[in-house]
Amino acid sequence: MILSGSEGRTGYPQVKISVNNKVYYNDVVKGQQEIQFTVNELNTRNILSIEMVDKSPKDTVVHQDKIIKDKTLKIVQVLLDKIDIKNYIYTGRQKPIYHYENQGPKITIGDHLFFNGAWKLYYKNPVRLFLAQYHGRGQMINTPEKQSIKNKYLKKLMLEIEHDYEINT
Amino acid sequence: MSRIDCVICSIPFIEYYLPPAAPAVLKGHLETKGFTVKTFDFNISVKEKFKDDDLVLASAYFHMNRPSTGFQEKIKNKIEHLVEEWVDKLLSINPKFIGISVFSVDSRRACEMLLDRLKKRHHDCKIFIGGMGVEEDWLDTIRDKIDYYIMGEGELACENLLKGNFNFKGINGRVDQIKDLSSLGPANYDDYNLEPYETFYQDRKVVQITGSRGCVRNCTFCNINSHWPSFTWRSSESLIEEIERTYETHGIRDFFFTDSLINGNLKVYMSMVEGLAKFNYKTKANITWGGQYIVRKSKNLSKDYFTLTRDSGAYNLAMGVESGSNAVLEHMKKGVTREDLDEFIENFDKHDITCQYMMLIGYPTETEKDFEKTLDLFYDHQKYVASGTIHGTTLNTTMTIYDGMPLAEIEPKVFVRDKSNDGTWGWTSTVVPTLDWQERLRRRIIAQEVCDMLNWPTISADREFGQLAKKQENYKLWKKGITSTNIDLQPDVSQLS
Repeated sequence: MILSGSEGRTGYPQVKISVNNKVYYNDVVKGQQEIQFTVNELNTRNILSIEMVDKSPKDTVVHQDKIIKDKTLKIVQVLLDKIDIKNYIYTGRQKPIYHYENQGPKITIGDHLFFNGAWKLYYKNPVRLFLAQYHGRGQMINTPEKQSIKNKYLKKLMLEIEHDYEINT
Repeated sequence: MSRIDCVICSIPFIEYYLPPAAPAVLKGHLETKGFTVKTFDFNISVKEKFKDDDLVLASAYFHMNRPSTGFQEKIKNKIEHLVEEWVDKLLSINPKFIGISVFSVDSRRACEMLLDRLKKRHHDCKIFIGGMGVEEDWLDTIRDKIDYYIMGEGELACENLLKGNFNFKGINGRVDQIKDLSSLGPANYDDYNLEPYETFYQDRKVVQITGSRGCVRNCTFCNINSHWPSFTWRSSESLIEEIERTYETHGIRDFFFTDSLINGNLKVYMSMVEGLAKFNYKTKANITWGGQYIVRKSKNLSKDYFTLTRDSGAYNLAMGVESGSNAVLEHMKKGVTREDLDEFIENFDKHDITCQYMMLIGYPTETEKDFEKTLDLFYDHQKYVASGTIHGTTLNTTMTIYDGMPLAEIEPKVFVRDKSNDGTWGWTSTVVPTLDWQERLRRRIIAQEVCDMLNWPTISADREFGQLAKKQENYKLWKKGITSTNIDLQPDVSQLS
């Protein structure tokens, strides 16, 4: 994956990346950085988690009502099994740990992390099939109803062809 | 009260994705010439009538020109009632002219039904037909029920018909191809209810637009050059004017080009995408467009090709991939290879340009190995389905051979038609002798299974399989010698090598 960390008053963000609670990366992300790791567990259901762990209120530097420096993390690109997940990134959700009460929504959507707190993305293995299904599901031309009609005729034709094959052999 | 000049209707069978362009294009042009025109899309009324039940079979009923297979009485009665409703609608307007748009050979059955019923009713409307489905060999079956026919592009011929210039070339004959598309009035979709169409994604309303006619290629399986011998195109200014008008009047941002090939002529294409990209930058309208597209060799492309394609709003381009085998692509005269496709789609993926693959299974020279290469393509490019770059594929109803295709002219060198009642799909290869209808059907089923397994969305597979099942029923009847139109039960085997 490609992450981009920006510098706050205390430096660049310390970032923890885990899959199913197993930590694969726990280090500083300084500017744009490519991070690669291999997940050996082959669970069907998985949670990828990315979080900043060391941001404090003093990281945000404000000058004349403008933020001039801040510790943030941007998720630039996530590749799962070499597939750029592109828009699927926006299915990820963060539960920010705010510095003050009622500082923002309980759950946020997006590819920018401005606070500590895990950003979590769900995916299933095999990931390529999972992503293909995800991208295809919004299509009106490939609805479950249409698939079921197709399957009905497909099954009928397959049985016929198998039957003909048996007769001919 | 003055009488409306003309009503133009489209009829089944056309896919239900988009409002049909022809009536809207003609209305737009004729209204700029001062005529009053109303349009109806009767094709979509089939979907509306059968949406809860039997839509696949009702569609197949219109699709098959001379079905020997029976359809349930219930379906037939409902269809007959529907056609009566069309007649009522047309005559209630009492126009001077009724125009019927015969989109393809698959619209002939509906046209015949409509004409039969119009003939039985009392009216003094003049009836004319036009469209790609109007060809000499079919005219004799309906000539006594029409007043005029137009073969080829309809705008100028219709204009002259309504003016009373009945000697204009193209009225009751073939028109000369229009050279200046920019001089025609913009399409007008005002009469259409855009709700019921099956657009590719939810919350999108799409209308069609024409950027060019004809094609710079001459692929063996395509008969487009027999309809439009020259490649003509509109200026990007004229296109943008139409897009702007449609956007402002209907709020429509999504367009589908009727062009045979949008990127056939690179110079014209680049001018168009540059114009549309500038329009998008300037207005923030986020216009998107799709249409039929071809893979290009990277060495022929400018450095801005993919960026401008993306920024102009390219979306879900219908890419004529056809096959994964270079030998088949070469015979088709596609002018590109599997390797060109690999490079092209990688660039699409990098630039966030989306597309769908249009495939052609069972081309006459397609061996088992060639077919396996097409299956390999589905495996290899599944990663682009996973990334969302490829939206799906159309696997089609296997290779059909129509007159006007370059391929049809080389019978029996590569194929020979079965002596069945529909030789467009009933044929056997003479270079791959095992490749007959049954083998094509088998390959089509395998391709479907592979795509389903890999989660490739397959577009129109429901209706395609409905049609395949009906064709298979007809085939079996023909094999048993039940169909009265049989001449022989086998293709001429002496032609098989």
